[in-house]
Amino acid sequence: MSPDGSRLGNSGPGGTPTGAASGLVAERLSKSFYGNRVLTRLDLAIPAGSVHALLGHNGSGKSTFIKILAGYYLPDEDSGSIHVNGAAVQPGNPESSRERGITFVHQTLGLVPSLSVLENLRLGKVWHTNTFQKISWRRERASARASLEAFGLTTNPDTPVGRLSVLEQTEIAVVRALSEGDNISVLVLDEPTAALTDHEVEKLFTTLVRVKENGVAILYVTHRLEEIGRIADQVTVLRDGHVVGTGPTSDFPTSKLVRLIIGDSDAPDHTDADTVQTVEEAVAAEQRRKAERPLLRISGLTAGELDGADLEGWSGEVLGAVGLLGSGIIDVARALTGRTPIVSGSVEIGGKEVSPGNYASMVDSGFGAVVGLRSDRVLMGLTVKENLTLGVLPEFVHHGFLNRRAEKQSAQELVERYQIRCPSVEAETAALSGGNQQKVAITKVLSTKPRVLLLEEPCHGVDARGRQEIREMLRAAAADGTLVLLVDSDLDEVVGLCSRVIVFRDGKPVAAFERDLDRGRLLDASYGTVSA
Amino acid sequence: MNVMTRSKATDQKADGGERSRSADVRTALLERYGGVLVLVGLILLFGILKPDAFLTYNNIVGILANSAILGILAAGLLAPLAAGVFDISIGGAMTLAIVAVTYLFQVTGGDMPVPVAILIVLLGAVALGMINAALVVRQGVDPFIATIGTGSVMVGMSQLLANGTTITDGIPKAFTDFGRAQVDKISIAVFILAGLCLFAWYILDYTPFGRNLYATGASREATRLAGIRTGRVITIAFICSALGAAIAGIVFAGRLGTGPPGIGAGFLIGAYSAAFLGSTIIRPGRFNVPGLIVALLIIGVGINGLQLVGLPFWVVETFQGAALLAAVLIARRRPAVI
Repeated sequence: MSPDGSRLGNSGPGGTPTGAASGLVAERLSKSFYGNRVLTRLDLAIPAGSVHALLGHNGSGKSTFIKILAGYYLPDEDSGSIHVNGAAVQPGNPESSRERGITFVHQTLGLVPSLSVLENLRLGKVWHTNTFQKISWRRERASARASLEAFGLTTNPDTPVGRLSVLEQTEIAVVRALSEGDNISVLVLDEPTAALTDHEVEKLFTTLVRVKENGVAILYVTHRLEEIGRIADQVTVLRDGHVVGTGPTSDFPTSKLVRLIIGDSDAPDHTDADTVQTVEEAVAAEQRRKAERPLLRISGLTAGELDGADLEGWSGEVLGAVGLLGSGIIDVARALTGRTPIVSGSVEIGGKEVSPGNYASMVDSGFGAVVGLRSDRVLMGLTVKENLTLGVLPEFVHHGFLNRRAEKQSAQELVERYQIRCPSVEAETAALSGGNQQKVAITKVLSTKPRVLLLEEPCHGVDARGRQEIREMLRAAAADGTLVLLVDSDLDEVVGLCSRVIVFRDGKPVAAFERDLDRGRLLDASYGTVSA
Repeated sequence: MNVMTRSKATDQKADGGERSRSADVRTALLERYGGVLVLVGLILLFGILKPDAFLTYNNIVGILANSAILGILAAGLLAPLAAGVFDISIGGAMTLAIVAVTYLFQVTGGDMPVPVAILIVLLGAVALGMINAALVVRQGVDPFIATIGTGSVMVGMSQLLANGTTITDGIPKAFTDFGRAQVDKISIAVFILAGLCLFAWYILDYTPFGRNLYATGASREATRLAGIRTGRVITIAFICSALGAAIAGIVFAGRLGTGPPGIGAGFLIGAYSAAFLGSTIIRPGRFNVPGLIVALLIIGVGINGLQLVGLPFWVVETFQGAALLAAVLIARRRPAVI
């Protein structure tokens, strides 16, 4: 590997790293979960003092790689190595990663909102104390100010972090990461700009340039393709756990990056006749809608970040809802499932008003949802069978007794039909892979035959084959007349699956796309930028 | 409640795994029926050590009788535990039941019909269950803390009623006849326990409500999102444990013929020991009835045996505590290595 970043791929040289190799060198890293390969022989090299962007779909292996770097995951046995400035990092050992000088700013920043900037900077570190073991606040404050000034920041060290803007919090997180130790050589940033405006992104980049000039190797993970050219020297694209492209940024215009991320093999999927409508079909759908009453009607909904949102959905469509952090999109799902209280507005299903606050009545009215954390979607402590039949158990009760054999049979049929991979229906759901757990969650709700099915990120953590299967499940449900409402941050999934997409910004829908549905337009509407 | 349950993921690889089928079956059987083996082992042990005292019909019947009241308490406790909430008020509830039922007799000079007195106490238990549920579900108070509170309130109320003494006056013979009734020397409490166990087993294993209990315990939010009224589930669960405590107290008072205050506290730990130990047996990881029965017998046989061998009064709490610790340690599964 040489500092000019010559190509490495899956069939890389695979030689031993020389002592002179600076920066981060990851070689042939593989990772599997329950026999499911999520990362395959990843090679990645970041010379000291350069920025390397890492791109990929949700589920491409980016997070897995970062967790391996952090020592949180153990790479598969006999698979590869990590070296920082020539020194080996012991896999699966966070201490080792830290000692070798790898530091992280994760997506959630890892700051404690109720503590001050100073206290956050010192989290987990040794404090300056006087002879009586009392913290010397004056020295601490001076030291904190000095650290901040080194990055051109003037934040008051005593301010509670929760009161700072997202940009300032991100900057504090970067400063903290860089003051972890004396030999920080690698800084890993996971989606640091997800919630920042363009102007704030510029400010962050100025800070990062300063870090880079100090000789730190920066790994920069992002979804935002337009940033790559501005900050990164090199770029690597992951897809389904493989490196599909790597090299200098100048070799990768945005269009090429998009093709690499999505992958040509998926293209037939996206041009599948079922989902992408011709103009005629779209017109026909619109006319049909004008004649029918909407199955789901949300009017003037104010809840959480939503501010008077209106939304209508019709039976048989796959309706997408997208938006950036802060657009209120998260509260669409939360309000409909009773997790965010509704301040004002109404929700109607089939013309009848329903109250999400009493969620059981929502389900009775034909609503079903797969939302929230994995542990909110399936009951980990119950078996696969028990999860699948949870909503429809009374069907198996005869003469007051639950017919367990019929229940088991029904569960087995579902498992077979939807290709849920598990040792048996009596297996504990926690033992399944994440993707199969998602399928259990979706199957569970589908078996109650809902009229409206709300899903949040249904393909999160699912492998390519599982995604395909889930997409088919959802399409079949829509074909059956269910209104499928898909809230997802993965625009590729949304474009591939939905017949109509509504974009949220500033608490309400601002645009709808149907015939002219593509990723670029969705992004523009989400950001509020107008493309030329 | 997932205190006990962490996935044995290493044993259940989705791709089939390399371990041989028979090895898995063997360890699974051992895990499920280990408790039964322990029970058999204890019986053999004390049978050998003290054959004349231990293996007599009278002694066995006595073990059953002593375990039965604890068993009734523990059986009611299964409901909230399955639903993932602790009910610490059962000790206080049992105390109050004992005092209240005898107080009703004392204050009416023995004229109150026995069924009426029993009914009043049972209704009170239902009220208690609903209060516990209101605190936990509607007010969002942590169940552990809420039930410590309500339990203490009931102990206070029983002290008020008992006025510092043991109630002995006015207890009708019909009541003590009921409490001391026997069939072939087997105490009525054992039959009541058997009936409750059958009922609990039916509910837990053969009704949607039982499934909803386990689901609520596994994850209240996920169960809510499945459309189940978890508030109602928890309310009924608390009513069950309160009724269990009340029935245990009534039978205890009937057998004793008096209403001593402050008894319930001692039964509290025993009930939890039995319930937790039972959750490691037959259906490991889940609070279940057959496991509870085996656990009760282990504790009952253990204490009886140790007493026959000559250990004094302190063996009771010690053994119960040890049983609880053993249960928790056994149930701690190897964490999944990713």
